[in-house]
Amino acid sequence: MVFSSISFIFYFLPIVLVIYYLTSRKYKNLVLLISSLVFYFIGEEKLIIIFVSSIIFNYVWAFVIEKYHNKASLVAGVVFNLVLLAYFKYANFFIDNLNNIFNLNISLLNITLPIGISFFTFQGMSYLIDVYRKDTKVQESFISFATYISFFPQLIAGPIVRYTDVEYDLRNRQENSDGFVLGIKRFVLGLAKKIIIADSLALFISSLNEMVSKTVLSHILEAIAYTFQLYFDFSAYSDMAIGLGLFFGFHFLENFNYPLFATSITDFWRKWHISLSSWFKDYLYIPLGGSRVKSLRHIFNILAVWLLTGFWHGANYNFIIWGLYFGIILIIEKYFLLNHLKKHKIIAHIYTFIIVVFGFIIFNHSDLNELITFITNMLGLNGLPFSNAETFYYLGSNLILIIMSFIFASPLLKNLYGKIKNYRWTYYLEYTGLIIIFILSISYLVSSSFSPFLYFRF
Amino acid sequence: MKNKIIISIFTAIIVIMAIFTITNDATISYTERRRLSSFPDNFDSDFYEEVDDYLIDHFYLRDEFLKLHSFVSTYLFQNKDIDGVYKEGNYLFMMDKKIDEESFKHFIDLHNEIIEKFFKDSAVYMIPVPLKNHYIDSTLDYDYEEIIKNLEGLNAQIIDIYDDLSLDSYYYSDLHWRQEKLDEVVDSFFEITGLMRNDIAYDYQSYSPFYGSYYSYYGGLSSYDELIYMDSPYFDDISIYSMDSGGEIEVYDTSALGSIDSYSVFLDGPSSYIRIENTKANNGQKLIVFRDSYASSFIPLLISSFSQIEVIDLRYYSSSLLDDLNLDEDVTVLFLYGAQIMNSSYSLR
Repeated sequence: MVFSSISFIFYFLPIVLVIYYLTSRKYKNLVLLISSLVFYFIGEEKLIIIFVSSIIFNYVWAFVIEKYHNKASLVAGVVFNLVLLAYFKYANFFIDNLNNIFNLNISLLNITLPIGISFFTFQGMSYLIDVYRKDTKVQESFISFATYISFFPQLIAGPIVRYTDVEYDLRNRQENSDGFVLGIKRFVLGLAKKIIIADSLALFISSLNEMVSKTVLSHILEAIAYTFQLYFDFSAYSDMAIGLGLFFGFHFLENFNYPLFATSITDFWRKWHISLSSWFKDYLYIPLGGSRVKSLRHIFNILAVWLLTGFWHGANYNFIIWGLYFGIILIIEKYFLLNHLKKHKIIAHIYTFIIVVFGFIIFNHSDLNELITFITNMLGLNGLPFSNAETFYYLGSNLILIIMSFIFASPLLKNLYGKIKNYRWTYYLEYTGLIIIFILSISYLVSSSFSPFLYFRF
Repeated sequence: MKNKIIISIFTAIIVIMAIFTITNDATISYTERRRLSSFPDNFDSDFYEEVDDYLIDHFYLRDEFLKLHSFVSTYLFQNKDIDGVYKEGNYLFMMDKKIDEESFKHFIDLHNEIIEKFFKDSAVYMIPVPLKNHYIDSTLDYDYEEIIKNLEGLNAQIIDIYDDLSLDSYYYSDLHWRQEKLDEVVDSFFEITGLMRNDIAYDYQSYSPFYGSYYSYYGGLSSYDELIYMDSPYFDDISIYSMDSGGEIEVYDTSALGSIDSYSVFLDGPSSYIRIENTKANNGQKLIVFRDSYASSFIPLLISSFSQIEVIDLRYYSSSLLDDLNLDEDVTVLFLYGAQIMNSSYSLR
């Protein structure tokens, strides 16, 4: 089930909200747990057993870690989660590589990837590590712990919520109308970002892909549109997750902070999928020594973290290359570029945007030959004309969408809102606008076919 | 208080939509010309996706939301087309950007085989029907000349009707031509074939609103059509056998008016094989038409001039079964196809 579906918005969510608010405080977490399991079951009927097993293991193992408090117990817990992830997500990748390298003929496994496994295993690991580090106490209530892992707003595609961030909310949250209204706002804006912007960009990309005669410009437009699509699609999911959390009194941390208008790649990764990059920073980069080591070791640390960040996104070489690409750029920035970029803001914005767009070209092409062809086409190295009537047609037809994408991906409107929010009329303008946006989103939803979020596959 | 108002408004929108959607038991959308999804019977792996399809199809005020979507796409986002359908004036056009040469080759090979096998000694003609796109200055669509050029290998005499038609020969919201605008096409047909012509008087019957196949793309922002069909008392004694119904049909099936596809008023719509017997035309002229849907509205204008017309649609009747029809060799043969079918001819067998 996706958040941007009729069944979720008009049936699942209202029913859960009614039951939740009619239930006494004591049983509210149980209501959320059952709702979340139903939500997961709708998307992943058979593999829910894997999900539930993972919850039970992490719940029990936290007690083991707390009791013995030795590295062996921690390693065993982490290894369990990694094995689960490796088997379902990476087993066929490794088999395929073994077959290619050693000319073997090992059959691929008939595995279905459980939805959200990359997220719930990382949440499980962070919890076990936090318990080991004594950053948090063991959650004694199975219901509360299972609610933390399975809470449906963040279950499928993040953000990767850490136990320490919601520990207080799990026990003591207070739902109130301010939070609920803010939740409506975040959910509706997320819905609009997904349905109106991201899905329109997907149609634009599809049109460019189906062009009779492609051009250099059509490749550039496709790369830019894909970058925006990915941003709006994924950040929309996070907005909706944060909004849904607020409906139930939970406060999730922000996952995006206008990353496409960052001033360096270092800055970009502080603003894009924040919960993932901070997870790797806190649970891998810093334990490896972070930057407080010799240069060579520092470079190794960065490359190791980014190789794994790339690999986390998918069992394919393009994701590894994508991770290393950003790792190398981060090294260059740390040792050479960052000080220069700080002095030239506009150049820094343009540089970052171009680097990010190139990065997402790699991200979008699992076939490396196609990746090379796309890049050489885009750079005009394959003799394609720069543009043609067809390209201008699609550019003209989507120009407003591109301009809106730039505006909504920038902090422009947020800054504007900050200046006018104290005026009395702003309130009426804001919520009238929100109702209009909601109705527009419904119109797009009704006229669309099924379109899952891109990050579901990770 | 302000929060309560906001929460109440959103709650009201959601509750109203949810209740009216779940109680909407419509089975057909006339504006979209299609049957709506039904609630899934089986609890299988596709169940939830099918439930979503059902809810989207039955969503309360669906037509109005589709209009709103078209309005926003067209006027706010300035999209030049919606899913390949674009609007010029009151007319809607489906983009058709590229000639598929392989498809034309398949089309030519198939029809040449039929000529070779059944109509070696017959006069064979081909009317390629232009897209209505060919009557506007369209940037991306291929030209009519490309169709003629790609038909060069066909062993039939081409009847070029481009100048017999104009944009107003087509419906606003549909791909098809208007029957009442085909006089010059009929003229060209008889002029080039040299066949005898028997003109009759027609009563012009009208039906409105006719929602063409492109109408739903612009969800009510485009004009619907008036469908005019040319009836005549002359047709009262015409005998028409349809293989699909296994019995007699009328020249005009008026029960189709107001159905999902009102264009099916012409010769009962899509049919694999039809045989029209006209005992009043004692000139002995026989015609065999291999056709697509454009012919449905064209053939009634030929009925008075032929004692027999056989109509075959190779999308529904395989050419490998033509032997079963015992086709007469002493006939005139007409291939009549719209550009869409020639450019996507793999459904012809």
